[in-house]
Amino acid sequence: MGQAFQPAVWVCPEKSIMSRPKEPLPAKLVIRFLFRDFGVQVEALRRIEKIFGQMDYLSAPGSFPYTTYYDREMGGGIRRQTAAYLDLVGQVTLPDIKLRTNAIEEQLSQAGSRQVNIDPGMLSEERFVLATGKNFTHRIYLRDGIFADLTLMYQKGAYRPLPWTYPDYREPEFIDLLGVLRKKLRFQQDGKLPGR
Amino acid sequence: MAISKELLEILACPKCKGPVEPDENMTALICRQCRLAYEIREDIPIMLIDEAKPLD
Ligand SMILES: [Zn+2]
Repeated sequence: MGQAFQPAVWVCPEKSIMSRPKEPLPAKLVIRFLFRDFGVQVEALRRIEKIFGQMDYLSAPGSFPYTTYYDREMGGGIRRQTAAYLDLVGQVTLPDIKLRTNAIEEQLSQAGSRQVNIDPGMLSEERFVLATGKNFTHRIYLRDGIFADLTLMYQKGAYRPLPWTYPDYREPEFIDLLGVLRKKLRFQQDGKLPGR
Repeated sequence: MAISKELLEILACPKCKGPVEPDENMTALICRQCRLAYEIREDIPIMLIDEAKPLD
């Protein structure tokens, strides 16, 4: 009684087997947008390019056939678009990226309701991770109120969904796109573009 | 693995945000609006304005 709590300190019995911590390779920034007004969306794309540099992929605006709470906030007729960016990003910066895109959502909101929803994620050779402000059992806390959601895992030649992966991130077109971006990422990690 | 036709059909031009279409040999994606050709190299479309070639 009265003794101060002593945290247990784990000491590796074989120091020689300890791996040296190392930063993972930079990742490709992939951002998905939901919007109704294409003018607002184009402005969001412009603001994001000012921060993160030029896009190197943009999908045509497509319909968003899922009912979510965005319908209530933005009204019906929601469309979506996916963009990827040429400059690779350090994996540690995911929370900063999410805070920057949250700020753009806020700047473009009207009468307190969002006009564009911006979901940034990071594509590495191993996985696709989304940033989110919402806590949930399978999400890992990063910092500044931002969690990481392991959305797709690369296994046996393709990115594959997990039980919690949202339906729009399971679509074959999206997964195909990530496969192509992964090939490009590998070129970029060697400091080049395909065919150069 | 060659790039899928479905994927090529959902891409947009990074300049005008409008549609692009593959050329007959599937070697480039063409934006008629901007009159630019975005090459497909090693099965990867290079959707960069700086790398695009102007159409004659
Ligand atoms: Zn164009």
